[in-house]
Amino acid sequence: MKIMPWLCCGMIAYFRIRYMAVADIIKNKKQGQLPSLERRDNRVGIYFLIPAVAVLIMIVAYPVIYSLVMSFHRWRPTDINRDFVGFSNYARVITDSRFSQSIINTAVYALVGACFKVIIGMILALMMNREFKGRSLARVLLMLPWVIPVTASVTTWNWMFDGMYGIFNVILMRLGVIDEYINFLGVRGLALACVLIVGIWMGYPQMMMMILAGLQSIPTEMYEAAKVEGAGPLTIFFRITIPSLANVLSMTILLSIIWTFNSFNVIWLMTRGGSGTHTMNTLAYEFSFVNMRYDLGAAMSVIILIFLAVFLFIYQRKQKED
Amino acid sequence: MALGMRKQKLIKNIVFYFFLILIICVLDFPIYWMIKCSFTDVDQIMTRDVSLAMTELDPSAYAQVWTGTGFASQLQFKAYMANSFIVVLVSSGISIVLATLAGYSLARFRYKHRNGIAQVILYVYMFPQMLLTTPLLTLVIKMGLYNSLWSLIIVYCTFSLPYSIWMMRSYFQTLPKELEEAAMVDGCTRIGAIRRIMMPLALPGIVATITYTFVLGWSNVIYPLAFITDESKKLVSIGFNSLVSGDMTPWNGVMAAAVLSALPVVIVFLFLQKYLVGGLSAGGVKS
Repeated sequence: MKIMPWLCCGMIAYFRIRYMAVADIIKNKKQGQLPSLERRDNRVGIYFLIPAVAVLIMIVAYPVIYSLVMSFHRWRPTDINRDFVGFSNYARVITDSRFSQSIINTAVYALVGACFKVIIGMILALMMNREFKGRSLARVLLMLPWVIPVTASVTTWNWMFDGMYGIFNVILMRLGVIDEYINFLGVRGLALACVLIVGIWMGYPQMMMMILAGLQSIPTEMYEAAKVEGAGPLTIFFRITIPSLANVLSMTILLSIIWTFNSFNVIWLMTRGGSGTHTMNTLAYEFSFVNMRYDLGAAMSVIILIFLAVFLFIYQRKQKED
Repeated sequence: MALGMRKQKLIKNIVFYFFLILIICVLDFPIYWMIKCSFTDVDQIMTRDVSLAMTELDPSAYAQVWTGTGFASQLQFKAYMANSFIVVLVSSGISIVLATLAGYSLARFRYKHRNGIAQVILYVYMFPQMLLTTPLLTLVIKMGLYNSLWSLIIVYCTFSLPYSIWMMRSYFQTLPKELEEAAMVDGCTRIGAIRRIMMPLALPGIVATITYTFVLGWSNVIYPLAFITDESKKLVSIGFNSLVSGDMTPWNGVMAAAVLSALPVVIVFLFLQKYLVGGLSAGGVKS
């Protein structure tokens, strides 16, 4: 009985894809384009796809629909009452005192974070784009912040930001910047800045690698030609590098915004959303697993999904242009 | 003239290395600090009179974390490690098998909507995990898999599978079609061509994808946080967090646990980074 919804989804997927294949074959038959062997072959191709798609439907599509249903019902793990409540969960979420704060934080976190990540990534990618001794070592060292598991690095940052013995307090004190120790993660505003720094620190390597790949795809002839024409390094940068990178850059920025938008780990592990650092994702988690209100968490998640859909729409438009 | 040029180049190089080393020092400082603190005695660490240099090499924190003695008596670190390995490897394995098939299919066969399907799979990868956590949790409880590693193995596929499919598709697209066509002309079946020609060629892509999903899975927090409460079933990504408790936190132990938890990923990365970097950029720019 429990397996039924899963099975149904799988069956629907199977027949849908199967139908698509058959429709394709009929169409091709009419046009008489493909030889029969290749036609049969393409059908085999669809069988290759089915297992993966079936799994994705079971573990992604079905839960998303489940979330949608939850968000319109009274749904708590503590009682079995599952009444339909319309939009009242959404109303509760939107009127929550932390809601608007969480949207502002998410925007700041995603936009400011993306800016810094791309700038740092760009500088490092430019540095890594030249031949020098120890390049692969430098690349490994620069990639480390991305490789270290989130919990390990965030715990380290927590320790460095510690209000009692944290190294930042020690250094700032010795430099005479502060008179008394600050609890970085306990102060509104400051906490958000700390979270932002950690987010940037963890995200820049990916930007660096993507921009570096873009840089390496620029033909060297262009640089040589520019040098022959007598262009200086700045001119080359703004006239050749930036325009050639325009597509890669806009894509990386968008991807970075989407990734940061989704990020939950850093903030949850640093502040649990305290000190005014809630983003939409941590707020959804808090609703679901701290307040034990699955319905509110689901409503919040659906709101997140709506925002995300806008980004994905822009992404798709952008990709079509390229 | 020639000497002047050489001198200029030397100065340029020195300036370059200076900035590079400075940047690396700043950016890798937290990692250095993590290692440094893990080797420091607890009395030395809980003081405001710290030095930035590595002054001592005291491995006792590691020993206590690993064996679960002393301050780490409620920890089962070895079990966390094993659990993480099982979950991440099995889910990456399942993903890569399904994804290689699907990626090949999306890259090579011609049928309707295949680009649309590929797009949707990419979007699935970008879904916030929060959206899936609650429904998946209810499902997992219904299936009786709560507090079981199987739940995480299945659930980790929600991010590793779409990513793997997308990567394998991009990778197969870069491989020349002519090779397998030639094999098929020579009497190979499609399956034979895939097995004999495409799989060996796709190996770097497969390795890169597994490495990436390994890194992703190893550091995932939200699912083990929501799905596992049993101490012996916890994963390393959240396991040692229980050590952190306000003013009484044994920070050298926490740092030692952090280093230990990072070690497998760093080792995997060091061995496979060549593949990873190539694959990562291929997928990154294409997507």
